[in-house]
Formats: sequence, C-alpha cells, structure tokens
Amino acid sequence: MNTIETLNTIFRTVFDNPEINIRPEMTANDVEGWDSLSHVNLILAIENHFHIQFTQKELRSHKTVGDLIQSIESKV
Amino acid sequence: MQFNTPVFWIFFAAVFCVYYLARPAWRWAVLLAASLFFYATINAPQLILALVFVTIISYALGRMLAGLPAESNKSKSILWLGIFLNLAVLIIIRYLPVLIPSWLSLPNLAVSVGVSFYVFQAISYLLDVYYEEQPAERHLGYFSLYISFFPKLLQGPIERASALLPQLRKPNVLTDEVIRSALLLFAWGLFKKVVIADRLGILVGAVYDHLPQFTGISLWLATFYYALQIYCDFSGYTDMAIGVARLLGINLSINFNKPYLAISIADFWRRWHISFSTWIFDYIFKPVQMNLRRLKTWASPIALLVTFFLSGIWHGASWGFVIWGLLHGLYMASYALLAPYEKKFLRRFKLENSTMVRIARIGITFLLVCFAWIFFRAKDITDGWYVVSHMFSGLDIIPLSLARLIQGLSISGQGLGLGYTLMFNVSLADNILALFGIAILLIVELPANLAKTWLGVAFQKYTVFRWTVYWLLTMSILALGTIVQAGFVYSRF
Repeated sequence: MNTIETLNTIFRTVFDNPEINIRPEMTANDVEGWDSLSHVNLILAIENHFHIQFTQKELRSHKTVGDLIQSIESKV
Repeated sequence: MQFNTPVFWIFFAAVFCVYYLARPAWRWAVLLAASLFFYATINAPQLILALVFVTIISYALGRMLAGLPAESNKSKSILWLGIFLNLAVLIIIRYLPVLIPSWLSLPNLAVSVGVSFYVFQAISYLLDVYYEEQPAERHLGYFSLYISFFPKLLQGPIERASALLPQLRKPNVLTDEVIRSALLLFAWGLFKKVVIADRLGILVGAVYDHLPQFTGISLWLATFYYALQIYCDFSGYTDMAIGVARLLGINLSINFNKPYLAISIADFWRRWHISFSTWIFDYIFKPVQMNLRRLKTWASPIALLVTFFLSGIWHGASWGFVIWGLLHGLYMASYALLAPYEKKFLRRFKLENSTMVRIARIGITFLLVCFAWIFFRAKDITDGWYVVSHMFSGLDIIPLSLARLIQGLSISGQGLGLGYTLMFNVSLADNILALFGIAILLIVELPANLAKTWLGVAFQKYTVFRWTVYWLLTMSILALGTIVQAGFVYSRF
C-alpha cells in the first residue's frame, strides 16, 4: 500500500468512518469529526504506525492532507 | 488619548490630512510619529520605554533568527531569549508600583495600557519567524509601526505580521464607500461605548460596588448587564479602532462575532476577543497539546486548562481573573471530553438541526459565561463568593402582584420594593436609557445580515432615512453619552 492508502485507513480508524476517502487537497473542514481536538489522535496514530515523530515545525505545517503525506514521506 | 474623547478626533483629523498629503513612501513615518505621540499623551513615561524596548529587541532578534536554520539549538535559544525579554517587560510594567519606591513619586506608575497587547504581538512575530512562516522584517520603520500602530496600540486587535506588515507597505485606496463605512463603524462603536456600555456600567457599579445591599434577582440582572457592558465596551473600542484604521487604508482583524449567540464555550471563544483567542490557541494550546499527545484523551483537556489559566493571568494577577480563567479552562476541558457524546446524542435523536436545542445551547452557554463574568467583575474573591452564595436567595419575589410592581417602580425606591431590586437605586432615566440602548444593540447586531433586514434595506434605499439615522446616532452620542469619563474596561489589561 502506498502512503495515501495507508493514511486513508488510519483516517477511517481514527474518525470511526469507513466511508472516508481522502484526497491531497482536503483539509479539516472536509472530513467530519476532524477538528483540533481529534487532530492529536490522528497525529498519534500516524506516528505510531509509521514509527516517526514530528517536530513542532512540521506539525505547524500540516494544513492539508497533502501536507501530511509530504511530511510522512520525508521522514520514512 | 482615548477614542471617545474630542481631543482624539481633532488629533486624528490632523493625522489623516498629513498622512494623505505626505508622499506614499513616507507615510509610515507619519503614522509612526503619530503613534508615538498618541502613546506619549498618556503621560506615563514607562510606557514609551516599554514600547521602544519591545520593538528594538523583537526587531533585532527577529533578524538574528532569520539567518539561522530553523529549530537549531542557537535559534531556539534566541527565540526563548526573545520571549523571556518580552514577558519580562510585561511583568515589570505591571508590577512597577510595587518595584519602584514611592519616595521617587513618579506619575501614573500603575498605568500599563497596551503593553500586554503588543508584547503578545511581538512574541507571535518571533515565533512566526522562528518557524520560518514569516520572513524577518528588515525595515525598522515598518516594524516599529507594526508594533505601535495607534488604532490597535491600546487594546488590540493583536495582529499577525503576515496580516499587518504587507498592508502597512501597501494600504488600501480610500474611496467614498470606504470613508462612509469607516465613519459609520466608528460612530456605532462610539455609541456602544458611551451610550450603552458606560450607562450599563452605572447600573452594574450600583450593585457590584455595594454588594451587601443586594441579593437574588438583582445579582442576576447586574451580572447580565455586565455581560452586555463589557461586550459593548470592548467591541465598541474595536469597532472604533477598525474604523480609524480603515480611514488610513488598513484593515484590522475582526475581534468579535456575536459572542453571546455561541452554542458552546468552544464556540464562544471563536467569537469573543478573536485575535486573543486565536493567539492563545495557536501559540499556547496547540504546542502544549502536541507535546502531551502521548497522554491521548487527556492531552487536550490538560492543554486547555493550562491555556485558559494563562489567559486569566494575562488579564491580571488577581484571584478574580485566575478563577475566571480556570472556569473557562474547566468549561473547555469538560467540553473536550463530552463533545463526542453530545454529538452522538444529537445524532441519535435527530436533534442536530432542532431550533429548540440551539436556543437551549445558546442559553446554557450564556449562563456559563455570565457565571464566569461574576469573578471577572467582582472586586475580589470575597465579593465573587458573595454573589455566588446569594444568587438564589430572595428569588421568591418573582410571583408578584401588579400593585406591588407599580409601587416598587417609584423612583425614590430606597426601600426594598421591586424598583430597588430591578433598578438598583439608580435613576429611572438611566435605567430606561440602558434598556433603550440594549434594544438598539439587539436590533443592529442580532440579525445575521443587517443589510437584508427592513432596517438595512431602508437604510440603503432611502437617503432621508439614512441621514435620519446618522443624525440620531450623532445626537444620541452627544446627548446621551455619559458625562462620567469612564475609561475602557480592557485598557486595564
């Protein structure tokens, strides 16, 4: 599975919604249940799955799903 | 100099003329000189020192940060130095009366107006440069103006570098429409402040400054009045600031968005003092929350408590503000934990779009916010506790006969009639004017889109109506504006 597919699975688990299909241009406004409170759960799940750790600067740069993917791929 | 004084209006008229007569490349200098003069008229020399210090330090450290790789040890140290020095300025200025020996008899030592706002602004600048989201400003003139721009100098909005700096270089063009809307906004803000807020202040003060004389309904009413007073005071100031800035071609940030229509405390903080809440959200909550992410469900609540505790302290180092902050922290933390269940509940019973539920949520949120305001307004903790412990006594006064109502409304209500309970020994005129003010506030600010209401449509369509409104607005400010020169509530912070 490539990054976006893995990430999609993570999204579906964290937000408890098997219908989610993420696209790079999506933001928190486009995914139901994705807000600043649940974002931390998403980050944790991503870090645990890919065995990476984001820096504060990287965390601040995550505005879209595409940013997330780019961030993950740069660290894996 | 305050926005609600004639001397400011004269000052601004002069600045406006010089500004537009000056060559565009030099306009920053005009505004900077005006801003320093504006600040100096407060006659508290420590303020100018604080402003200059904050400006120089943040400018210099910002330029140093720009040359270093992000998140390196050196840049981290510089960042922390910058944050430390800025906060040191804030703390020293706040505690100046305690630190400086009284035999020196320096004037106005307790004045610290504006410092908390531009210190926070400077810190946001340093953080944005550190994270490489904002290039360091190389022009000291523009940077100084960014910090000291007089419309936002005293009570914000707290502006991000990315929002304000580009505008200072390229202000918007002045058109008839801009001038009209700016003046109207300024007049409305002034109306809210001198006609509504200051008058409500008289009523609130009659209770909160004479607490032992009141119980039950009076305490509730005074607190609701205070909620409206502080809103009209602060949003009035903000409207005036935005209006003044707009006349100079600068768009300042929105600071309020019908806060008492919030459907949750989280929603409230997206509508109240927006430039401040987004600041604490971006620069305190998010980093703390992320640092605690291994605590999973507890990360957000703990981060929220920390954030709002600090927010309380920012307002002042008294227990009243700390409790106010902690209450909101508690509200937010509880909301963070309960929100998923609320969502499930509403979905289960198909209540998401129910108007009744929405009204209930607005009502509950308003009550929670007002409860916290008690501690914000009360002179100290003892007074706050008095209000809380006496809120429910004497409520049996509610089922009343009409006769008692009429009897109680006599103005010389020195006794314990209904007049006293509801009018707090303040003149009937002031009471009626306060209610009139609140009615106007609701008519103008409650609708989602004022331009589409009958009032808005008539305003745009009929010149006679429009000018009648201008006339009434001006006359009521001049005639009804309270004689008592009350300072702005938020200028204490």
